[in-house]
Amino acid sequence: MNKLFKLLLVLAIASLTVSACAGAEKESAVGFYLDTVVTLTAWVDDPQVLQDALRVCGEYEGMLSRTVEGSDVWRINHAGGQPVTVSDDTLEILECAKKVSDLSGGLFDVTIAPVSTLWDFTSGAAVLPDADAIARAAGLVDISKLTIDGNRVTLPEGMMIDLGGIAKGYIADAVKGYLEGEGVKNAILSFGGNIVAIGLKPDGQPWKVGIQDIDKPTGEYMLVARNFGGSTVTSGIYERGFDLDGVRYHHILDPNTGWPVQNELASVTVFSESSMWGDALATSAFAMGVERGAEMIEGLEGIEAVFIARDRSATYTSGAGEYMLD
Amino acid sequence: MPGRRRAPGRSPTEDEGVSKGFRRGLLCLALAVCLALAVCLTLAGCQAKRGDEVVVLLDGKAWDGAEVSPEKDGPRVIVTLDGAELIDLPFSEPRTVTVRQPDGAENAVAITGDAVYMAHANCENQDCVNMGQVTLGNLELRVMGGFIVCLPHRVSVEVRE
Repeated sequence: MNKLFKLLLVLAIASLTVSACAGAEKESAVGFYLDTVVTLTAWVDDPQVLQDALRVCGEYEGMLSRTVEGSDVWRINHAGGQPVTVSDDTLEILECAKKVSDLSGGLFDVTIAPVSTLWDFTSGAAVLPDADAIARAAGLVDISKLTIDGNRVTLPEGMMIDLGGIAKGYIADAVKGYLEGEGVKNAILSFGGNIVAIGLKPDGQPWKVGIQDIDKPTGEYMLVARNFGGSTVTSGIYERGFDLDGVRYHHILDPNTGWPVQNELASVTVFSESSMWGDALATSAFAMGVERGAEMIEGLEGIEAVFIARDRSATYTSGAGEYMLD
Repeated sequence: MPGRRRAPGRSPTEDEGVSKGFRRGLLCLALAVCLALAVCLTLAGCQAKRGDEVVVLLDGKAWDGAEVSPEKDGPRVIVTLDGAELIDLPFSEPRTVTVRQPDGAENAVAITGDAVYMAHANCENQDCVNMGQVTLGNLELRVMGGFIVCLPHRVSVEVRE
């Protein structure tokens, strides 16, 4: 009798455990959008939801890519100075881009495309573009000339936008919203350097995000950040770029000169709720340098940052400690 | 051919009987040739098709598709192409997995027993090779979690606990 009771108890506990876990299983999916790798890891009832989420990424790529013919961005760039009607999504991104451009004193500018298309940071070839061509292209960079009237966007002829520094964040937020709508409670999503989480880990702990050690191989971390269901975005010189004659040529370009920003920084990590803002602010704060960058972040509510200098020193904004492990 | 009307103006002769047998012989020969050709073409087709397929090599030898260590207790390494699983291996057993695509794209994944990394890829940007190692210790910290991805070749490697 005692044995039977024990057996029943074990069975009862086992069935409880199974039913508690049965709902959501850890599933992952990978996709390739806007020249970035998207990885989605979520606790879901049906793995199909992740495939649907990847399809959402594909739809946004078709809207926001500079190179996809017929996308909002493509149409703006090819309108020859005429107004173009765009989606609410594109509009929201452009409005954020304008605000961040103001906040950064023009160091964040999505009209950088005439310059950025002259650089090749992805092939691994260490080739510098023609300096005169860069100077001429830099003269075409000025987001204040992009005008928005309702859903109509006008860009002067010859200018070009590229939402590479902000669209990933917007899509990350959108995919998060989509998954939340599908009832997902725990997920960690990665869009290039953008990490967006839904909730906490299933064990109730915050997610951990490593901040790359600038002097060590990829995958070795200098600091570990915590993510409580928000966005963690890192912009750094080690992401895309090449070394030539002792100089690191990386993808964060100075809109004024068209050349990579050379300052004391190696990376900036921004903690925020919105990954679109985090994306734009990480790039901006990097371009502004520690002092001005930290000042800008301090002026924004709910946003914190950690700056890693090339000499390995770390600078935190006033509330950033909460996001750091130890 | 049955049912077809003979050409007008011609009457059957004895010669025709002979030539009928001859024709039948010819027909049989033609059929045999056709059959042989068909067999050859099918074989050649298979051969060509084999060259069109993605090949997975384990430690340099073609993998026969049989499950490797099917007892999935410990962490696993899953290699996918275009999101579809190619092979699922135990994390703890040292091995090299090579994925060879018909267009010449090649990725070699090294499984050391306590780490997984892209040992080699003939892709243009080498991002996957520079993504470093995935270990059970850094799995949670990496920006891409347990993934190593070769974007140009659409190959991904995932370490799953």
